[in-house]
Amino acid sequence: MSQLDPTLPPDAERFVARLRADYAPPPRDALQHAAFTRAVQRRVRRRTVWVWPPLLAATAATALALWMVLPGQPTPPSVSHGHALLALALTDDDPTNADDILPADYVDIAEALEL
Amino acid sequence: MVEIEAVDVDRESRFVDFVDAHQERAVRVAWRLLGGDAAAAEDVAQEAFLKAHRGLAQFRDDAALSTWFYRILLNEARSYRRWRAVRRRWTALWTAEDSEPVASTPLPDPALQRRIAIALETLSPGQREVFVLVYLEGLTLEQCAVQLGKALGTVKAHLHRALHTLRGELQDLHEAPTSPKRVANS
Repeated sequence: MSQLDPTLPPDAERFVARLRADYAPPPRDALQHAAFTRAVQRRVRRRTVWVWPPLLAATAATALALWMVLPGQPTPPSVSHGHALLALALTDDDPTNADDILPADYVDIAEALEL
Repeated sequence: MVEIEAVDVDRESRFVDFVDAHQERAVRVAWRLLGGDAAAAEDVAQEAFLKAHRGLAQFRDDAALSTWFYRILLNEARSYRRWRAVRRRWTALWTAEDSEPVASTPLPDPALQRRIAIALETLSPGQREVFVLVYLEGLTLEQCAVQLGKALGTVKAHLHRALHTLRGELQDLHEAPTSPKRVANS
């Protein structure tokens, strides 16, 4: 004890030694030791098994939320859109009339670029 | 695939070795911090090993793993004490007296152990941990400071105050002879 705290007076050293001797759990035997190790291993395995279902559920929920929130892939133009584009391409009208047909953002871009 | 299985087997084997090597001390430290409650000490030690298992791969060095493990153990013991204090207060509302004994295991000198446990209860958590680790478990002041993540000066101050308080609480033990039934451990 004096190695740990050289400043400890002898009477305090005896007091501490007494507490150390008297305040200790009963010795554990080999069976208790083995049972403890088995219990820890069992708890580790149980936790490993139980970790997966919540993890999978959380992953599925995240994927579903992302699928609902994020915009979908652009769909190909439908037959009616194809017909409209074809009509636009074949028309003899002034191309500026195309502004009436083209989406507004196309027009905005064209104006910004002063085409 | 075979390599992954080999790594898992190796890790589990290392973990079992670690549990075997440290369980006696872990249970004893928990027992001393939890006022001699054997069942709680076993449970707290198991919980600490369980948490250490998660970080096993991060620690190649067993000494670092051991330091980390005992920090977990001390945290678990603190959490258990807080939970037990709440439960005792709640129980006291419904019953006339505290129904939970300090020590749950038959001991060679239960009266003396109970007295020591009660005296340790009068210390602050920091003082109790330092006293148990240094004087009862035999850690050096430096080791204790690292273990608790505290400055060496703080550890010394805690130790000094703890000893002063305990000598006051257990004044009659100064002169009485050591119990022949108990043998010093660690």
